[in-house]
Amino acid sequence: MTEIKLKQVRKSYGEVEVLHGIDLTVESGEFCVFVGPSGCGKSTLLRIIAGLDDVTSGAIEIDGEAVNNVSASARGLAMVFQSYALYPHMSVYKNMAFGLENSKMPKAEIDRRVRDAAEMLQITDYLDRRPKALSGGQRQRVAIGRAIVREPKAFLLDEPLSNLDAELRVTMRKELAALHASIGDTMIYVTHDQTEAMTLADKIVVLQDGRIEQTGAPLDLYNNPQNAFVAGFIGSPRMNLIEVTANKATEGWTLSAANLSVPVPEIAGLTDGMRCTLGIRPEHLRVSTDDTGHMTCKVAFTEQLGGETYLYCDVEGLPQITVHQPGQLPVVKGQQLALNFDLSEMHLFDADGQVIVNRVAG
Amino acid sequence: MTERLGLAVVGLGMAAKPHALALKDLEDLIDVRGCYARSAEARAAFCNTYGLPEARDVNALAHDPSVDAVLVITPPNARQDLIALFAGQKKHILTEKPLERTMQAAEGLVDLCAASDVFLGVVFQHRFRAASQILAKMLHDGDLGAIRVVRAEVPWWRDQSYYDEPGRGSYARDGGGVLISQAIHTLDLMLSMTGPVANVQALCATTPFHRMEAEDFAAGAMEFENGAVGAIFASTASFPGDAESLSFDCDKGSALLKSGVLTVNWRDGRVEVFGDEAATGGGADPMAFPYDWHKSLIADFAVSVRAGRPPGCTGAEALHVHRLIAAIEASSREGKKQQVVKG
Repeated sequence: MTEIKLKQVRKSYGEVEVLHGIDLTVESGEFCVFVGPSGCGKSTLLRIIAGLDDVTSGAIEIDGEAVNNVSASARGLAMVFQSYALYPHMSVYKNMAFGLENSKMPKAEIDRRVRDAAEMLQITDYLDRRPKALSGGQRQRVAIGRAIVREPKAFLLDEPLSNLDAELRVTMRKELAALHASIGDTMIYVTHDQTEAMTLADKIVVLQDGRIEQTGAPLDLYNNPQNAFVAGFIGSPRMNLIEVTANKATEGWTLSAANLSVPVPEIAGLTDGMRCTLGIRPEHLRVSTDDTGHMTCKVAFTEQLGGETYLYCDVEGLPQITVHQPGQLPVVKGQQLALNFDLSEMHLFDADGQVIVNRVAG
Repeated sequence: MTERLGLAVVGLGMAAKPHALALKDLEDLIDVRGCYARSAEARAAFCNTYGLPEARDVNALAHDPSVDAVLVITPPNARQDLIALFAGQKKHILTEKPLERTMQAAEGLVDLCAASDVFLGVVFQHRFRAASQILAKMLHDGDLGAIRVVRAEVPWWRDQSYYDEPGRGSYARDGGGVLISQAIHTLDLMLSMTGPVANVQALCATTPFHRMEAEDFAAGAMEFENGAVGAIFASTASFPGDAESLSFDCDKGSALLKSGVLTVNWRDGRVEVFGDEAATGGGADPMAFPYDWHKSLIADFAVSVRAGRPPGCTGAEALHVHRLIAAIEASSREGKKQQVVKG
């Protein structure tokens, strides 16, 4: 079991700094997911932990020992690459055994480890094949198997499912979760896909422009985003974010925008006329049973999935609003609707995008 | 004295000449254990010309315990399996540019070498020219101030006979045309000084001067991550061909790097000139350039590998230029500004 700690890690390419002082602890046995858009620095950070890239400044510690000057091979970590990085001229068995053979491990022990990993990953039938004869999902299993047989201190996985089709990604996601539950080792997983992050992680690290925006358990990030970026990035479909103005009312405040007026109770930190961003998730909007609501809109199109319904609504002067309701709604394109906001699930962010409050009421 | 690096050489075509001359000069650092090409005649001719040992079996060469590293000079479509073969035997890799024909394949090779725990170096010899290194230091130390405008120009010429060789200028063998085969050196050198490009808007074309599959012309505008803007012009359709150049307009002066000479026009009126003029292969003879840059690069690779540290130009760094070229091609194809993929 292995703890990995980053202290003020910075990385520059020439004049351009791409990581701006990352502080992070990945606890022993934790499944930690680095998530963020392209270019946020998540893969660079993983490669730095692996020892494949140097830091410009800062420290990396594995189980309390600084490893900045320890080579990748001596760190005892196993990396799984998006490209699989398999040897095309070797069989699956050989690909998995090869690293162990170089370490002079007894053949019987190598054989045991390879066959155990192959069974766990359901690739025993393919051990004699070469990678070219395998599907993408099978190749990724081999790459994971090659990491497992090393019995590393921790697993580092760089977008391991990105080259797979959507259906296989879902299957492999479940298998990775089961694998982590089974072996219990520390895993750091990089993805741009927030659904992978939400479904796999014990802890999510959201990165943007080389900085950590927020760290926490999946539902903590979902329920208590500390800024508008995390609010918009975590969750699918994404949170509705609407620019509003706060106006002092007789009791509490009124949040206003074109075709929108939401009375809210007292909120610390608001000033009269302040510009803010209101955040409301699609499932926290209610279709009004009469014509009154916080907002009126026109249904642009609907997705009726049987068990649930998505409405995409146009409001003049505002970005398109997404509504998610359970069950089947008798709503058609072009219909006028009134929507109410669930204040107990409504978020408010200041002009810099930092959270003012995550539950406006209740 | 440190033990010499045991080196295998694979691929003995036109591009091998400067490497061979460099290796002869580096005998105190490097012990060439065998040179391999599929053609027995080409192998014999090369080894006789340069007095280097011949290897008849590439597998045996990869498994030879006296071989520490391999220099891969094959065409781009004959790299992947060779690199996997040698990396699989824990041999460090030094490969000619480009890393591979596509960005994804190039990333795959970088990953493969990382997974094999071997160093991957790329032959971007222009980084090792004296004037390039002086300019790199000036920019790094801030002597010139912030970079505001960048120009990268590769106005080269190739006869049709150059492209008549089977596969030349094709996507299947070379991975493209002027960008990936010729301009890649200048673009890599530019990126090593500026850092990454954020966005590019470009046009690629094949002019009537050439019968070839890929582009012999590319032009584009770039926005750099550091806030600078710039332009590239790359062509093998610009008779009679001129030396490639890089220019940087900075807060304290402007620098022009051309033909191995660095000229700095300082804002205070001073003009400084560094380096000696040298040909770069921009004219009709693509091999009309000296071999001392190759020598410096190979020496750096040997010394770095022996010291257990990455070489001066790694595969991971080379991905920046592959990502830029992929973005230029995509921008031209789609007719719109393209974000450069970040690692």
